[in-house]
Amino acid sequence: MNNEELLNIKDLKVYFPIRKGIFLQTVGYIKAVDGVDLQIKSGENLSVVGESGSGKTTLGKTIVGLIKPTGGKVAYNYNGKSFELFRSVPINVRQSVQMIFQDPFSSLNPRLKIVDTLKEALEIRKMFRTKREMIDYLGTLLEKVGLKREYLYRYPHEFSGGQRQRISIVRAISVKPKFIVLDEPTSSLDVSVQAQVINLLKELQRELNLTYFFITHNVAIAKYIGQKIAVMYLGKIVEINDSENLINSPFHPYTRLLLSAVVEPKIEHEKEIKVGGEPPSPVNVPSGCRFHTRCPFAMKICEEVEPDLVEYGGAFVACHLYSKERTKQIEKS
Amino acid sequence: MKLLNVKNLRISFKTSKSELLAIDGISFEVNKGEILGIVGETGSGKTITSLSIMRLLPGNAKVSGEILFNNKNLLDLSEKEMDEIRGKKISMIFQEPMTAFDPLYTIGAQFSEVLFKHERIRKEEIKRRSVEMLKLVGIPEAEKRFDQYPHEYSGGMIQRAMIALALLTNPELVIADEPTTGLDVTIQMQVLNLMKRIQRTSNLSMIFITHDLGVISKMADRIIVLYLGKILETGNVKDVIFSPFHPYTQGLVSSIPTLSTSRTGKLHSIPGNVPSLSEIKKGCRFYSRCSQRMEICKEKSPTLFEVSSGHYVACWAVEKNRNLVKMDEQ
Repeated sequence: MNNEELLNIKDLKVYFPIRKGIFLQTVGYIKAVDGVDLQIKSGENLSVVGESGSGKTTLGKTIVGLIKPTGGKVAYNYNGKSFELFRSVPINVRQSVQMIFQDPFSSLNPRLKIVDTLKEALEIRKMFRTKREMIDYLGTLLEKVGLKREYLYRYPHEFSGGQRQRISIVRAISVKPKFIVLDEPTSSLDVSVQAQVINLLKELQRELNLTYFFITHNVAIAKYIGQKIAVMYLGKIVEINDSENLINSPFHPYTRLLLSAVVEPKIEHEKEIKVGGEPPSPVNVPSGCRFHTRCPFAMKICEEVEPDLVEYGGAFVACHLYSKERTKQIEKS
Repeated sequence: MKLLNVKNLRISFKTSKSELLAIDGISFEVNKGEILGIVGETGSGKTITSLSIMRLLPGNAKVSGEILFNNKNLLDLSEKEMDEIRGKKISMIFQEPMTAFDPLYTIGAQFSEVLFKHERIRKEEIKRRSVEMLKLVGIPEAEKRFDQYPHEYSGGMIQRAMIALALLTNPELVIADEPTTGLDVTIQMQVLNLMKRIQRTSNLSMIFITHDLGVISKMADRIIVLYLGKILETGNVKDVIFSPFHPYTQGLVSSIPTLSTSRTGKLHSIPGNVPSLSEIKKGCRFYSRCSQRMEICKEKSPTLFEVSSGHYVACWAVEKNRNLVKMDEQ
């Protein structure tokens, strides 16, 4: 796999104004994404985990260009050139980035036959000269994801959740993308079907040389898909590391909290794990470190100074516990 | 001691075309102070089972069998007699608390309704008990919260309020239908801890319904694995999850990715989808997806048999292997 940089996100901010009154004056902002730096290399899947309100979906939508950033930059590299996807870009660049949505019941148009949904992107791109070639191509793709050719002429309501998600996958890969943003693609599926879809995604990635930006709240799935995991909390990345390392030796107190709250079968759950508080609303982000209101190790500095994402033990962590230790180490040397 | 004893429960729904058998003769019991877990995917009938105990099924449902609660068959009771039990002796925690509460009334008003109906106590007493219960489930500033509307609560908070409401009348049995689905993991952990603590301290009996095997293994003492209206496997939670016998349970347990799942291997998965009720034919209901199916499975539905003390499985393949082992021993 090549290690070319696919995506470079610098200090990305996405704020949504809160408007009130008859003149719709802006009274405040929801800071959905508040200063995110990320690099994604080609062929290296990144999983983003976080709770609701952490801004992970907004981040994904901003990456594909569905939302215009309030500040900062998302640079997408295509054949050595850099593009900003929320602006007007050539169709082949646009189509090389795709998104798969969470709810397969609302992401397929109920009035269109599957073939009509699938052919739209191909027609815009003028990928095929004859209709026959196109139908043949789509039929092959359906077979590739484990569906039947005949399904092209059915409507979305005739399919189960797992089948619909496979159709969404066909829609995304039909235009031969390089990079796919997946927003919780398995969270609405039954357990027995979820594993099928995850296996399929992994197979396709290998076969088609794709790079995934995988959004999920399930840390186990995040690890299975991503080489790296980024943990988000209230619009910021608090820790990012190789997925194995992040799970085996988490640094940030929030990562540790998240991991301790995972309930798995075949594990004895005798002791009660202390998990305090609820995430504050992104309208009133706490001062200093955003996590200090729930953090068991909060110090005085945490209320005042926002920690930067710094390298520590192979990971990047935004926490004063480590930045302090790090400065000590630097002072010593 | 048996608090609830369900015998040969069958529930079918009349549609314009046919009759759909949603629950096909299931039997189970809930002992005093025990949490019985019911695990199942979409269409397994787990919610319908709980609604039938509460007698809340829609009019086109046909229910037969017995639901014995303290040795009284709930299916024989009049609507008025049922009113005395529903919400008082048996209460329910619903899946989506945001829609289960009425958005037009304050939490306090909805608590008062329950207490007034079942206990006919004075207003001050009602408020005192409600606030006490809200405090018990860990809602801060309970007095203030009592007068607030559901939308003023956060997701985790409203689920706590739902639990408080279910416990308000000191019920003997609480049915919790996917109480933590849709909550964030950290909030889920808080709610689960809370439910377990309350259940232990007040020796409550509970039916805990979920599709999440992780959650059930934390909560339940015994579990039932339900698939398209049939019990495929039942027993102590440890026996069923650590050493499942039924191909479906085995598949379910191994298809869940865990933190220790290797990144390189393929996830185990059960082929196909859960069929819809109208597609079911005679024989074993898991036939179409089973990796160990045999001729007999197509024709005859297997019955539960004991594989070890208290651990039952309904599967012809498991039964056959058992018999082979027995024959070898002889």
